[in-house]
Amino acid sequence: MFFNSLSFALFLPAVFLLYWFVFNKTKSTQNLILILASYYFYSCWDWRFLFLLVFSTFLDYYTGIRIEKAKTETARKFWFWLSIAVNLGFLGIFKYYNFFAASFSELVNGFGLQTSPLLLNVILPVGISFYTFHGLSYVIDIYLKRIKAEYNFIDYSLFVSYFPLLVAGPIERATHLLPQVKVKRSFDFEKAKEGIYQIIWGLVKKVVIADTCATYANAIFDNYESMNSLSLLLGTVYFAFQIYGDFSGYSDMALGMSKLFGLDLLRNFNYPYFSRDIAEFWRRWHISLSTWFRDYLYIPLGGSSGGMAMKIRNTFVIFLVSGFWHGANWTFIAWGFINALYFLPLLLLKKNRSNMETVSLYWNWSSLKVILSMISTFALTCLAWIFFRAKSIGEAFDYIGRIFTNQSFLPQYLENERYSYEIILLIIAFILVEWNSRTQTEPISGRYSWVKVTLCIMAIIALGTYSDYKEFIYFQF
Amino acid sequence: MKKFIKHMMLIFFGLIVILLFLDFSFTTVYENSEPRTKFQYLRSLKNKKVDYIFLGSSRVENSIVSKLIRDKTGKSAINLGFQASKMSDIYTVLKLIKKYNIKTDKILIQVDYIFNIEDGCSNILQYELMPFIRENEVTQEYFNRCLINKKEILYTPFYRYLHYEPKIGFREFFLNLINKKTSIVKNNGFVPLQGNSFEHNNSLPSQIISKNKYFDGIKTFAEINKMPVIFFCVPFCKHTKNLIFIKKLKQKIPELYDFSGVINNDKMFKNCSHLNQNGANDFTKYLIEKMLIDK
Repeated sequence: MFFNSLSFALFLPAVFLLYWFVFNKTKSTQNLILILASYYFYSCWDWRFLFLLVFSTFLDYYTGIRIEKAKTETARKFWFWLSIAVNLGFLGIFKYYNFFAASFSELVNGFGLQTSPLLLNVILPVGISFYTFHGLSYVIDIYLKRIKAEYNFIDYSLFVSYFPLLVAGPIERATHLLPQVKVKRSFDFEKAKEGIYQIIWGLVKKVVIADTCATYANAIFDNYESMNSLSLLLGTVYFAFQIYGDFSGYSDMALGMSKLFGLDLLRNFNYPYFSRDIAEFWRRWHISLSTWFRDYLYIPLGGSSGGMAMKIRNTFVIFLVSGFWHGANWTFIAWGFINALYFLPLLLLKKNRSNMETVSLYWNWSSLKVILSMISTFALTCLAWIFFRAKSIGEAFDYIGRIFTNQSFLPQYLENERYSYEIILLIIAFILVEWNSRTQTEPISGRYSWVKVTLCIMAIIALGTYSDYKEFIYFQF
Repeated sequence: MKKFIKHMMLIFFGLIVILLFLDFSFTTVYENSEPRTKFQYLRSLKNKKVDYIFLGSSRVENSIVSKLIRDKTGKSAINLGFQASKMSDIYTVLKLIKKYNIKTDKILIQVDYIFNIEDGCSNILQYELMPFIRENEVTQEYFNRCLINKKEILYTPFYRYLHYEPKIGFREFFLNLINKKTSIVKNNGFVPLQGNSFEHNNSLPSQIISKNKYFDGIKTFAEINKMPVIFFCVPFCKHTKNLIFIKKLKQKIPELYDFSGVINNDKMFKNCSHLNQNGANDFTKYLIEKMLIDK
């Protein structure tokens, strides 16, 4: 059940009505209906993985209490490492085992020994990377005595399994979401209205921008060997907007629908393509993951407190791990590595925190420099996206090579019976809308909101891509 | 909460109005633009005369060079072959020809292995007819038979344009709006195939069904309405297995013109069932000689 499906369009209002009209007596009943709805939502993919979700929830709930109640440091450590090991063990088996087995086999074969890897025939449970990270942050925070353990199982379950964030984030923190689920929510019209606008804007991003770009990006990437330089360049731009529209659209919908239930989720995107350098990009892209790695990996590794060598090592570690988090493929690791390389000059020159404020433009020369820095950051990001999208690292290099060697910039007719340049105007329009609303969470609120809602609904209906149904990219992670 | 429900109802009402408005706009543009699809082309010929009309599947669409017929005979011809057409689709197009009062000297209808198929409809014809779903009883009858989700398509405004978005969505609407021409009209319905890349694994059915209700329907409809129909079979490559099927078909339909074996050169085929452009030129010349020139 995808957020942009008809079944979800029936599911959400049903849960909303039950939540506010039937189960609104106490905080417990509110949480109970959300838990039931979340488990139903998750079981719509594959009910068998519901057991995994419940087990993972129970494990972290129980180990959290045991860590807090432990009388000795050894016991604390035992429960902590048990939770870490089981959580990462599940992730390892379902997501990474086959990758490691195949890579090991390839390595051994490289030495002349003939082996065939023992691969597992398992499906990746949807959202496992997200809910595992919810649980991990909770247990780590208890271990580090940042928070108290949660004793109410329903409340804790809701923190892990809350359906808007269950399958593709944002990756919530116990410090942020748990206090909200501990109190009864009252209906707030302004918040709910804002939520509806955010859902509508998320849908625009998903079905108008991401899915339309996907149609073109797929036709180009899947046939890149026969594409000319212009098409290959456009392919990277289309993929950049596909993945942005897809993931940030999902996040907007998640945040929006959560507001309908009176709960605020962490912001996940903050107009990343208006970043002036890569450090700023990573402060604006998939914020909940970046901050998770910062707080639970970068800082424990020493963060920026050590010498430059340690900073560089830690930077590479978090980018490589972040890449690997996305999927068990060398392409994702390469994508992380490239971003670490981009980050390195900023780190060495101590300029990684130089663009902290929202970008502004004026009629002067310094604004031209800002525009150029945004364009160059976007170009670097697009270059890295090629590795993210390609099936292998070799294919990514081949794709890049052809951009430079083909040198034909004529419009090209694609396999899907469309010209490669056809959606440039759509993307420019989207950039202009985003630019004008870069200080807000979405562009609909404010003056003339009715006009903007009407235009967005018209765009969703008339310009959306529907028939070639595309699921959200980040569901696979 | 009351305020919110009122707000949502307004959004919902706005959504309905937008759906109705877009449905009306798209349909109006499709109805009034220059023809871009074969069905629009057929519709534009209302009350006109076309000397020869060819009906069938992609095997006709890719094989009959209408312009060559005009050049060689001086008579007009239109190729109304629709990809993946079955006898039922051909029957519908025949009824539409009658409905639109298109006069003609000959209607040449392809019959081959599609004689064996009674189920299913051409999705290409469906796409092209979709904006005209309420046009007349022929299109309505067609969709009654072909659509599983007919009620949603018929009664939910704009749903058909969402459901068939790649073919009749915004992109196609926009191209219709600016009257951007396609080669369909320029080539009078002929769609050439290029190259020669087939494998020798084409096979016709080993058995022939006793009767096809749509074929019978075509014959009866043509007789009642005095429509000059001729049945013919477009070439297959010589490697096609079970070519005897056409002989069996000929026994069943004695008036069938069997051209299944008239092109022997493999280079004339795109694949075993479809001629390429050179093959189409050769076959059309042959057809003109055999059937379209009064001797």
